[in-house]
Amino acid sequence: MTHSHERDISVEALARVEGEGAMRVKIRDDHVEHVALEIYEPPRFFEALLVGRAYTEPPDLTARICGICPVAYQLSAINAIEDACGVEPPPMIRLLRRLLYCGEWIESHVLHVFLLHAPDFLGYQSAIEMAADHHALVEQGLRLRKLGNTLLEVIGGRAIHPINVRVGGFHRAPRVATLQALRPELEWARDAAIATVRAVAGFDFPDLEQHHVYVALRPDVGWGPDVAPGYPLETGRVVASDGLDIAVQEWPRWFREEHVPHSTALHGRMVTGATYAVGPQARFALNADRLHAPAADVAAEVGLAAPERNPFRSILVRAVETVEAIDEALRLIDAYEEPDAPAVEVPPVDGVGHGATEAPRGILYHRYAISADGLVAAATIVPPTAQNQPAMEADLAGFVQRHLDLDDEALRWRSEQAIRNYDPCISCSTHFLDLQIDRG
Amino acid sequence: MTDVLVVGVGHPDRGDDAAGWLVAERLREQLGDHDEVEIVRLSADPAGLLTLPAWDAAAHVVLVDAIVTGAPPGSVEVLGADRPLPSPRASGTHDLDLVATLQLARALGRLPRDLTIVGIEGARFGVGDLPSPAVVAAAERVACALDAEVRALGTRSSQSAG
Repeated sequence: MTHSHERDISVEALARVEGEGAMRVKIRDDHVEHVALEIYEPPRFFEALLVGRAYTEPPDLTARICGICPVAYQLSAINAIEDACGVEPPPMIRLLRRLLYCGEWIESHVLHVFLLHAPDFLGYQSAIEMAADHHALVEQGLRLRKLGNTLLEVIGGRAIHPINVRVGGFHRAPRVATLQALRPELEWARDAAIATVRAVAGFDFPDLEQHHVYVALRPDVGWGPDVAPGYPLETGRVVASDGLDIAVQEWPRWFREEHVPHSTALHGRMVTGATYAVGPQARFALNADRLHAPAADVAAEVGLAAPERNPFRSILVRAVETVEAIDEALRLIDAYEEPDAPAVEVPPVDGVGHGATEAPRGILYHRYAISADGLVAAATIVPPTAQNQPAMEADLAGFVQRHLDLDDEALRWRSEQAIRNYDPCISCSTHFLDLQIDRG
Repeated sequence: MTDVLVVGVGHPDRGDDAAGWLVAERLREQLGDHDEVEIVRLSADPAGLLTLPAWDAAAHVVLVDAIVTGAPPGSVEVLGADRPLPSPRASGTHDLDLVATLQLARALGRLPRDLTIVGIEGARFGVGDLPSPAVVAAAERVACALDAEVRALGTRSSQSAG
């Protein structure tokens, strides 16, 4: 495209009800002048809703923000409240939380890899068309996903919006035999997930190298006294590829959310002004050494090395993380012993607490101020997609600039794919998304 | 053994999008513990339907969701699986919508034998909005109608299975 082409492209990328979010790309004289992601953020509403509620309520209330990652909301809220109250639950409760989180990762990652992102790479408009030609692949994805559901059901009490989770632990602890009964399916799943990594590695990935600062959790302790710290899920320190290494309590000193003129949504920034990315690639970049053999070996086999800087290869990292989540679930189940009590008491104190976990799509940070009478005085929720917005904009700008030769339809499709690299959260940050490319 | 699966789709904090949840909650109150009926509330992620054991096991599946067709709020439309499904809006970044999920189920040969979709017309969907009175009233009516129907279906299924 050697001449100035002035075109308008509008893509409805996601819409149950239209108009609450948009991605706009402005192209002038073969130059991407501006990319703006405008999304709507229900967490702001929930932050207000939580004020004045009992300190035990945020786990269940915030779980309603996202139907895909309720465990992330529950456990980030619980971490923050227990931090405020100065309580650290015993090892078996921490183990169960980690196992519950494995279930959520399996469910969310498998949905994304098999049903949402694979069709992009295999040249289908959606999983529906893909299912006609790849019936077994889709059924395998659904079977893997069901395993994630089962873990959520067994530990969380329900697959959708787990109800067994509470501040201090659980309402009821599962029986050892109930968890052991999951082993055969988990062993099948580990093999199936390894095969998935090999299959995904054969996809054709568009070229793009991005140098975001990666930010992820990195546990410094395991779930129990003699357990080595693992891959980040339900806890950890906050580390970054620029060398940052802080306790979660220091988050507000290093990260901020800022208003940008084109959006009502807040964008995440480091206090240095740098944009950053959270999610699978960030976790892998900063924690690849924590993967156990099955995941680490298949990553090495397919040539995935940390840091992986092509956002389009995030699907491959998700596939490797799925192996790790299944493998970790097996380890946790074998180490599990029924605790004396399913929960510990967490009396309210006048204080402030911080909590963060690794939602499937990246760090989810919660902060609560609690009064001595046990009411929430203030709440802050920083969802992963808000943090990734600047990175998504940068990726889209970089990608579109390199592919201006594509026609509008192809560019629109690839741009959607570039957005999907981040698995942006429909409910917590981008409920409705409408993509527009404006060429003048 | 689940004979009937009732799924309320929507979100409790998004105005009339709560319609499916209101029906599910009302129906649960009315039916109480009923071995043969499973009631599920679903927010994001309709694809989760395909991993519910009851999706394949239940003889009858009823989905209740808010719809927007331009009809007055609270209008109720009942669609059977024999009617063509509307086309999905577009591919999502984060989940499959309900229609896409049903089409995927069809592509996999896993559409329930007996599927009923109940749509309740909504008017407002903002975060934090309360459901419209007309939608709340419609959810009550739908729950009462389903209560009777679900009991009848469950009974018939038990008989035919026996």
